[in-house]
Amino acid sequence: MAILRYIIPILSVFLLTGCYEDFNPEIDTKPVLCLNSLITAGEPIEVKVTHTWMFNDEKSERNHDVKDAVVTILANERIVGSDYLPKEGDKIRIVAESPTYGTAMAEVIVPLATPIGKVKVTPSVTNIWKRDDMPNYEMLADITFNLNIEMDVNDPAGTDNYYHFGYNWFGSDTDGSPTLSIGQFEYNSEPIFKEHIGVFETVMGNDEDTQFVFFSDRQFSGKTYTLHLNFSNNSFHVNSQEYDESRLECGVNLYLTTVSKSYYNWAVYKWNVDEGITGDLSDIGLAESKWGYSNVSTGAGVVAAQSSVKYTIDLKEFLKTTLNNK
Amino acid sequence: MKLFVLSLMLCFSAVCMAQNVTIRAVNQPASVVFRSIVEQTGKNFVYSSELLKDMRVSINVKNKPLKQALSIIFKDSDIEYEIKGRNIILKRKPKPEKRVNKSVVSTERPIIPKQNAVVPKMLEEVVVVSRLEAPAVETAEIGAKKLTAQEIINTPVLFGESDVIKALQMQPGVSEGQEGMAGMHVHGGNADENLYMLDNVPLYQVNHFAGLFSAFNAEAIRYIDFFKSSIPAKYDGRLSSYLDVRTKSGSPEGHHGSFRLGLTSGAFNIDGPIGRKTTYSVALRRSWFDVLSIPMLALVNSSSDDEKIRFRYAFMDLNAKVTHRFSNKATGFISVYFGNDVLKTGSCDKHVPESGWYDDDKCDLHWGNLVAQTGLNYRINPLISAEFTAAYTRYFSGMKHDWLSKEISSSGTTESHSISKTNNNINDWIFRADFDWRPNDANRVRFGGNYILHSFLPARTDRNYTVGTTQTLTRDSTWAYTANEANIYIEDDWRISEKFRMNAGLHLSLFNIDGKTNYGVDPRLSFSYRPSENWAVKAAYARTNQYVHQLSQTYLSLPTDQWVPITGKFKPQNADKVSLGAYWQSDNKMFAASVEGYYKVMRNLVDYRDEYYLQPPTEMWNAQLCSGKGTAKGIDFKIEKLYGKLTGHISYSLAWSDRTFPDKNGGLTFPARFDNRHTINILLNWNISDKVSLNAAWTGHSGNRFTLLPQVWESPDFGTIYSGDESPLKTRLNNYQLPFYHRLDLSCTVRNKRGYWTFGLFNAYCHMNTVAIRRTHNNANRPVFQKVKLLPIIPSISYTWQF
Repeated sequence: MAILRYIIPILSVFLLTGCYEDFNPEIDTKPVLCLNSLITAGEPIEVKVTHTWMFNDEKSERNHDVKDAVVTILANERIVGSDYLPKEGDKIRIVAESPTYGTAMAEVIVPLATPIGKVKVTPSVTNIWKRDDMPNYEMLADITFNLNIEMDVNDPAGTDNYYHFGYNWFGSDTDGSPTLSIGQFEYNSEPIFKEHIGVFETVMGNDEDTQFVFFSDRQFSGKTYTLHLNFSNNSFHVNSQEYDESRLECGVNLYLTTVSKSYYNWAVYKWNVDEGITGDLSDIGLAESKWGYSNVSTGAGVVAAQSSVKYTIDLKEFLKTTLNNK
Repeated sequence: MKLFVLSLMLCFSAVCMAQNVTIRAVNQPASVVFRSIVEQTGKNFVYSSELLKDMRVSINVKNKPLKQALSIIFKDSDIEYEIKGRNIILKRKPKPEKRVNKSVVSTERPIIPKQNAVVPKMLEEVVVVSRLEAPAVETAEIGAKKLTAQEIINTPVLFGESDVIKALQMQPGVSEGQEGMAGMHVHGGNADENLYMLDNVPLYQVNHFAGLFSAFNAEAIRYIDFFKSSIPAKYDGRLSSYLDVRTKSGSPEGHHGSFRLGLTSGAFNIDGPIGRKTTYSVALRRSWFDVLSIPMLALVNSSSDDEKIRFRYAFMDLNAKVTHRFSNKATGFISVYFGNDVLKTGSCDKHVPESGWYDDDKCDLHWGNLVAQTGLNYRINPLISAEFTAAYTRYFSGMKHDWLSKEISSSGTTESHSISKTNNNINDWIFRADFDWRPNDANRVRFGGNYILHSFLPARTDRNYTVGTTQTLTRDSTWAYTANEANIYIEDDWRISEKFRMNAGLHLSLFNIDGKTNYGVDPRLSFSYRPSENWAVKAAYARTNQYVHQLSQTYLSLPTDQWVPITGKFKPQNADKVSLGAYWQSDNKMFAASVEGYYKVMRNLVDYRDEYYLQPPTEMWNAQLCSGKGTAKGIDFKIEKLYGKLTGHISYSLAWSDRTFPDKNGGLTFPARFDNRHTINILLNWNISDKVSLNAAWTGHSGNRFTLLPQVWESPDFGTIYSGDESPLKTRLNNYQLPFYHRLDLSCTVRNKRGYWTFGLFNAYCHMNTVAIRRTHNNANRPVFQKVKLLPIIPSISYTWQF
């Protein structure tokens, strides 16, 4: 909860008496091409080509796609077709040319996926109801538990690496209804998710309530770093009294995605303008304006790349033991 | 060569010993006339400050002996003089009976009969005086200004809070920065390039309340010397300007004081004697926003069943000084300055629910300055006096954020607790000695040195997250530095002849930090040619050095702004500045005019690089910074009326200021944010009668520069929460100039027997100036650019009770 919420009212003693006036700045601008693409190893490359527009353009809600652009994709300095599947380590260059908006170019290297190292899972049950406890209910079990996971990231030496952590879960009953639900991911448990937050933002309370899960290897370059991943208030529930081990088959997928620097920078930029205080202050002229991060030659758009690895945590044994022990 | 220089000096000294003076003055303050005599003869006037209270002089002599001029000056007064060596000693004529009678009926401060016995003993009292007493045509300095406490009080300002910095903002060549804020950008420099010294000791935090008020209490100030072009060799450590603030000592005559109550703060000051040789002076100022906010918050909180809001803001500053006269030659003092801002905010749920969420959020911030010092002013012999200072100064900024969150359910309570604390401190131990030597009538040599032991803690952030039974502790930014700084300087103010005058000096500095020693060799030179009594032309050169700088991500003055030393790859900032000036004063010294031009080159400036926030703060703060250079040039015109019922000045500045950083704006030169091409300031003080005075200040300047991002592009959608919307397209920095800024501030002082009322109007004709441009959507949900306008007309009132 940002304390800006409280400070703004103080400033509002003056600001409330202030006012805003619509106007049209007489400033010479020329639209340019914008390229957006997220290149994933093993998947076809898609590029969205649009153009920039004056913010207060009356027609700004129209489609900004550029129809007359010719897009050329080069992989390792060789022109490739739209069916090309990029590989890890490929240097991809995208060039778009439009008679109307000129030329735009961006380059990115598809990062090498970083294998997930040792994973230590510590589940702990916080609450449990079983069919024996509630014979009148159509229920095999209702288990609430926490998951504390320590996941090693073995950062390869010699390169600057940027990561994104992701997760999902699986588990369903015979009728297709989900049996597993992951409650809350505790972002505060892993300090490296906050490495982009400075003193100013911390003091303003903007390090809380954030769901930022990008991080870099700046603090552990070439070494192993252990991510502390805590999931709380998870639940396992089966709407049947019939015990069947197949119903216990569920788990959590952890994804460690190595992302390009452009992707990481874009995420940090978005965090700053969406959640950081300087974005708010620059809106009222009390901090320097922030423009969108871009690695495209025109300054518009982001061409990013990623490679991902998955690690699956199987919860079947944990649930089996839990059910049998009580 | 040495012999030649010595001979030359002796020749000029002989010329100066002729003791003839030329003075023309009509109803001028005696101190102004004396200063002219000092400049012409090299002799000092020694007298009790009470002796010449309100004394005015009219005289017209041309090349007459000094004694004859003095006889004319004191002909109709009760003051007699005695020329003793290089001193002209003034004292009252021995007619005590008559004065006692007069004092009984007078409404002015009574003259105590014993004073005649006391005055001679006080004559040789060592008192630090401003080096800018003389009119500009008589000195060698360019761009220097002395401000008295009264001049500060006479400048109308926001909320009626007399403010040193806002008074200086009316001077040509000084930009105010953000509207309403106590920022100062001198001759195209940055806000952190001004050195604020309180009785010889530097202050780091000079603002209260995000910069709305300065940390200097006008009630405690005796005078201020401000230098912006030719910098005396004594000063160094900042690139742009030097503000030497001297605080009041207590009066030996009796206890006096005042109590002021204004809209935003109250102030109390008192001074007087403690025995025969000791005086005290105490000035306390405190805001009372918190007193106002208590009932308002109580109302707000009583209307809410769920949430209780916490809020408290207050600032205070205290100046306390005890001065003791050990002998006629030695005066010592101990003083303390403490300025502090406290901000407490937060909210909590009023009740802990049986199930659901409970939040308790607290944030405490405090920041300020502490200065404790002791000093000794000692007259070693009639020719040399010294000022010794030992001081401890502490700049502190601390912030703590405490957030407790509970999720309560039938199955139990899950508690999250996060505490983050940040500290930014500077501790300085300062030892300095300053000497003032007058080897002959033509020369005045000032020299001295200081040693400062710095201890920097730029930022230390501790985070403590507890979720259930899991606790995570982190500490970022643990850098701390100790630095040793030493300075020596010497300057000679040499009156070469009646027409030529020169001030030449050298300041040497050494700054040792992190195993690296930086040196500064800063020559200073100013030269004055006075073809006639009313005219002077001057030229000056100054090099300045800066070893610490302030990092700020906003245009406000916030406790999160960090003072950091030069470390790593960064070199000390330095600037070279040349100035030229022409000065005129009328025959009766009532009017003065000046034109000053300057060209300044600043090197190794430090600023945040473009997209600095992409560098995580876990790296050295230096990773977010870059180094570059800047230039500034301009001309300042000023016309002043110095005496009479109506006083004031009109000034016009034509200025350019730009910056070039390899890591900003693609390496291209861009205009500085406060590159205000044209600035006009008009300040008028009209003493309508003994009881009523009116003050008006009008300022108008070309709009500040602003980075306007007119185009946008479609943001990528990468499937995370950090997607979507549109993003602004990068443009050149400070590519847009805001509309012309203008504002009139008025104040009126009405005196009565016990004190005076002050009524003020900030922005009297309510022209709301544009401070920024924002992109937003209007009520019809159309994307629009909007001018952001902040401050309308704001009235103020205060009453000062004097006793």
